[in-house]
Amino acid sequence: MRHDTAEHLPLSPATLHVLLALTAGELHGYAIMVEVTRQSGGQYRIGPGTLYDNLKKLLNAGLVEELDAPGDGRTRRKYRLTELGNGVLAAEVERLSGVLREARRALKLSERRS
Amino acid sequence: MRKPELFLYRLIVRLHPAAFREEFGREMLLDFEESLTHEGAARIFFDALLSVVRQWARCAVSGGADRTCEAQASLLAGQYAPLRDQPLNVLELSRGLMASLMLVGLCGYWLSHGASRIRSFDIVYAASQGGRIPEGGAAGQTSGGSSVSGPAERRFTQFDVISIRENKNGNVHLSFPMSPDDYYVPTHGYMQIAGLPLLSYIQFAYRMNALQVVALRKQLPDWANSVRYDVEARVEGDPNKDDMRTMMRALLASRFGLQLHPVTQTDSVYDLVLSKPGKLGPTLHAHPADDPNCKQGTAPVAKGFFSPCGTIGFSMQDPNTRSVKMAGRSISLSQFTWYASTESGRTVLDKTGLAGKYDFTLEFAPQKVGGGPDPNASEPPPGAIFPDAVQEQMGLKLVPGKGPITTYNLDHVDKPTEN
Repeated sequence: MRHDTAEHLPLSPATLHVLLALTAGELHGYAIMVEVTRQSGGQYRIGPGTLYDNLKKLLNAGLVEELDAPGDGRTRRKYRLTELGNGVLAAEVERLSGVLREARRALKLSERRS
Repeated sequence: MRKPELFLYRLIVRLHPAAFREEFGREMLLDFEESLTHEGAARIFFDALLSVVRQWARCAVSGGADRTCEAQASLLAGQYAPLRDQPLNVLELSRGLMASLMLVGLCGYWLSHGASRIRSFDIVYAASQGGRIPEGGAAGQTSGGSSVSGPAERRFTQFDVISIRENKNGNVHLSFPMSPDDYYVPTHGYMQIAGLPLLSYIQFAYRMNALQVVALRKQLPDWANSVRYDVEARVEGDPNKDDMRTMMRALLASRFGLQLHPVTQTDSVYDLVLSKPGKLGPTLHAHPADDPNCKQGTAPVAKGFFSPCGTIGFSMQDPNTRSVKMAGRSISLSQFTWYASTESGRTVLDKTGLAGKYDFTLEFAPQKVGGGPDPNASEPPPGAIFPDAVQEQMGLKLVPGKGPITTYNLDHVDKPTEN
């Protein structure tokens, strides 16, 4: 599993936000867009084009799966994280934490020098 | 829905590779319709055009290995002529590029000159639908999250289907904002709320302020504050936020047996008045009648946090000054009194005599709900307390007085009936 998650990293900001939004549960496209806006405090927003471009990649990679829809032509298609998707998100968060630690350390060193 | 915009967006969706369009096109259109209620069309159009470029570029690079580039009907190859099962040639890419550039130019012209200047869109669209040409060129608008429609507007009284379950996983989810303001994300009659106690559902349904919630909480059984419920409900149609409140009240009555009645009595209040007659404070401004950012809901009133039109937003508490920023955009002062009651600890009545909508920012050190200093705080907050901040920044004053206060008395409530 470790090997599987590592090959998907690093994630683009849009991909990270979409995966993060799906931790809220099973969501349709518009709900994902709203969740991304909410989670980022309105600082990051994606449109339908960006969303489905990323969902297509995530579906192909097996990080996200589509729920079985009734097929009545009216029900919105919903998506959810797979186990692999959860793992990749956790690995990316861990990776970003490392980057943040390093950035803070570098900034502290820089402040001491100046 | 503004029909010319939908028409244009549909065109852009059709420019995508056929397989992508078939898989996601319908969802993109639905998302576009919903996004348009609080986003600007320009940003969504641009996003869709970028998507067209990305998808076709991916097809060109993959040389047909991508499944979504397989030969299917596509506008780029003529709507009904199949593409060859081969990489795109220069001619096809050129046609795609030209079509995209024409659309970008058309969108740019339309956005820069205003939709009202291009009445032909409405006329052409209405004619193609066999319908009447809309007067004034406007097909429909939304304001404050509520649909503005014709006289035949439907009244929603109750949900068609309801499911209530006790929440076991602790996850909280809202399919639309349950705030007391008008900000709303249309869900086409679907409501999914998870992980909230009964009191939160009541607060939404009856649009209670914090003081009314505190008063009701004392009357409710313990489980109404502690047990969390997942509520899923659906109704045919497209209810607005007030409709959702009406249907939530019916849901609470039918499934929880909830019975409340309002009680109004005269008690201590604050009257919200102008500090100096005819003069607003430095952070309070009349909302511009024609605000292009309002429908987009993107430009913040105060730097650093998000506040779409019709809402009041809060920043996180500053750890040093312990102050929070509050910003309202296109709200009435009577809407402001809802929050002012919470922050000042008394019911606030709007006596400013100011009509219309306003933008404001306010920075203050919050006290505990119900007013007065926070007993858990080791020292008083360094920032301005709410009444002082309102006076200094907004030019308004909270004057103690007597006035009508409405609270709710609980008559009956039960745990929910089985689904």
